[in-house]
Amino acid sequence: MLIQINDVTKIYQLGDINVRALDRVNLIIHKNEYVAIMGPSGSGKSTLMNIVGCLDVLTDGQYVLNDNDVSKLTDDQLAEIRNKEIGFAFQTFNLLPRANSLHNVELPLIYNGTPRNQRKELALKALERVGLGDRALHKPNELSGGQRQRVAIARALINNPSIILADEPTGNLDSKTGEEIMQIFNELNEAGNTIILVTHEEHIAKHSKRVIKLLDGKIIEDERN
Amino acid sequence: MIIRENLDIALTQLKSGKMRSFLTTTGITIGIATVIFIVAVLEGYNKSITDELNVLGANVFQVQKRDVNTGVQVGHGNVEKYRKDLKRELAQAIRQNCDLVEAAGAEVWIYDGMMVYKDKKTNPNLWVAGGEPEFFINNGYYLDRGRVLTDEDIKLKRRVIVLGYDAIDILFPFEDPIGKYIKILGTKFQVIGILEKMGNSAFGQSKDNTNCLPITTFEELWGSNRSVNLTIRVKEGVDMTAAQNQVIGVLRKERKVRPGEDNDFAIFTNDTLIDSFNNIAEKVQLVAMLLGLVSLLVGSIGVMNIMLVTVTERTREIGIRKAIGAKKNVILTQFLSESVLLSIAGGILGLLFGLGFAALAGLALSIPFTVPVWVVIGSILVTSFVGLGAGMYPASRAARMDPINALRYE
Ligand SMILES: Nc1ncnc2c1ncn2[C@@H]1O[C@H](COP(=O)(O)OP(=O)(O)OP(=O)(O)O)[C@@H](O)[C@H]1O
Ligand SMILES: [Mg+2]
Repeated sequence: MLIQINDVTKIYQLGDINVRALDRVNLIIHKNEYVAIMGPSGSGKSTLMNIVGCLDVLTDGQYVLNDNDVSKLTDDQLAEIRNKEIGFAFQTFNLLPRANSLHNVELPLIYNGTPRNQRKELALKALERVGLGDRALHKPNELSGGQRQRVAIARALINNPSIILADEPTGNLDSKTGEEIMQIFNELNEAGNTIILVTHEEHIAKHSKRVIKLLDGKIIEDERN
Repeated sequence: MIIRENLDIALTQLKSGKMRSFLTTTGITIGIATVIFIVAVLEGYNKSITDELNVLGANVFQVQKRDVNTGVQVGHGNVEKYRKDLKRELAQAIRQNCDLVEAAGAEVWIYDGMMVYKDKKTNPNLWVAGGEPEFFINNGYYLDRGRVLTDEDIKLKRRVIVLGYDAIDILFPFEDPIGKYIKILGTKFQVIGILEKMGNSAFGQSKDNTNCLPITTFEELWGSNRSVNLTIRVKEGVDMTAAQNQVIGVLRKERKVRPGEDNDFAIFTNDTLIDSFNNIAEKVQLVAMLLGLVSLLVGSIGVMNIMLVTVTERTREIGIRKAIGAKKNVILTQFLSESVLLSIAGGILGLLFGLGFAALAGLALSIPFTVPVWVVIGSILVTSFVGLGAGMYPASRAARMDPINALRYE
């Protein structure tokens, strides 16, 4: 068992108003699963992803990742988990604009102390794996949207994380490029990676093996394809 | 490891905003430049002055009617306005009555003595002294050729002169001056000697523009209404203060200063001159340090300000770095390296400016250009601390950012 979410609630406070973005969610995800999270806008998909990714902290409940109770960890311990266990691919890519692909991809390695020469080698390998071996020295603004997302995926892969999280990874891409990106996720899943992605689109969700539907912060459907 | 990465980041960051970095650090640059400049110039002065004043002889002191305002006086002088002039005969009295004194001489000076030889003329900016035989050794002048003044010259009021090199250069570029006649203020003098070339003094003035003729001749031609200076050389192995007291006693008696009254003359030694220079130098240095400190303070506020702007501008970058595993300290050191590097860059720029100007000033004032190593190391250290101090708050703000909020930042 990789991810165990028990009665998790997330409340955002906006002045006097409490927004219940997640409402007593229970969820278990095993190693090597391929999960799509769907639901209308504002249903709490991103919130769930951020909590799973240890980027955000929950208001109530318990989140156990790899037998670790995440709610009890310090900021630095969370950072370490994000570095080692989790790879992110965001809708807006979130690459460092002034750094080239190679540097963007090696960033997680810098933060876990991998020696410099090894870093370059691993980063290049990861870029090759997403088909961008020849774009190592390009900066994000010299790449297409699909290529940027590939760089982001290469960065997500580089530390061999237990989970790859993708929040609408194809949201900013045309459908053909989106399919290409999904192809990469499919391959990664076949190679043994656990993948959780958020999407609005049925045809994207079809690539996954399990679809979870959210509404108003609650899981209303959990189906295996 | 992380340190090196952070330095890389900081360097690229600074390079990508050269103009901004440059402007940010002006305060630091000016602060460091001021301090370096002043310290280097003072150091140069100090070196040359000590060299120079030592040439004048360690065991020589001077008596003048008035206090020199840079001078620290030995004993108290009474109100200057009412002082009687010092007369040439006082030197004789000292020679006769002070057994601790090796040699005492009187001297008077004019500064407008234009010299003429055939069709050549000097500018009227030469010093012409009326002196006694003791003049030369007491003032640290050595003979190059010919002879110096003798008692006979004084007694007979001979019209002879010993020239410095400035006059020689202009009047006798190709001739042997010894035995030739020159004119000063319409009077003919025979050149009997040439002083050794000395170069420029610490204050940028030539030391070769001194010329000397017998004091008796001087007074005969140009009047005896000037107060003389007495130069007094103390015997080898004799205590300077003891000799000074002896001289003071004789002078007070000659000038009929009543017991309990202040001296009506002033005594200077090389040491008092060096002391008074050091005194002034210390004050100037203090002022420079204060100015530098203020500039550094202003500079550090500039650095802190730009770092706050940078941190805000790069909130998203911070979010990204945190999302993929950068810990608090990593972010902290990243921005600290940046502010330290920024400050050091400003400091180095200031160092270069300061040294550059000091070198120019050294040339202009003809003092040696010396840079104490501690100043260089000190300014790098100080600017690093300024960078640390100024960067601490912005960097800790960056380090404390919540990753998810930072990522959402537009
Ligand atoms: N930082 C925040 N502060 C306040 N409320 C927030 C914040 N983030 C999200 N919310 C609220 O929480 C709820 C869930 O938001 P979330 O971003 O998880 O939705 P989503 O399912 O990802 O929507 P979308 O498909 O539009 O991305 C929304 O009502 C949103 O307004
Ligand atoms: Mg969302």
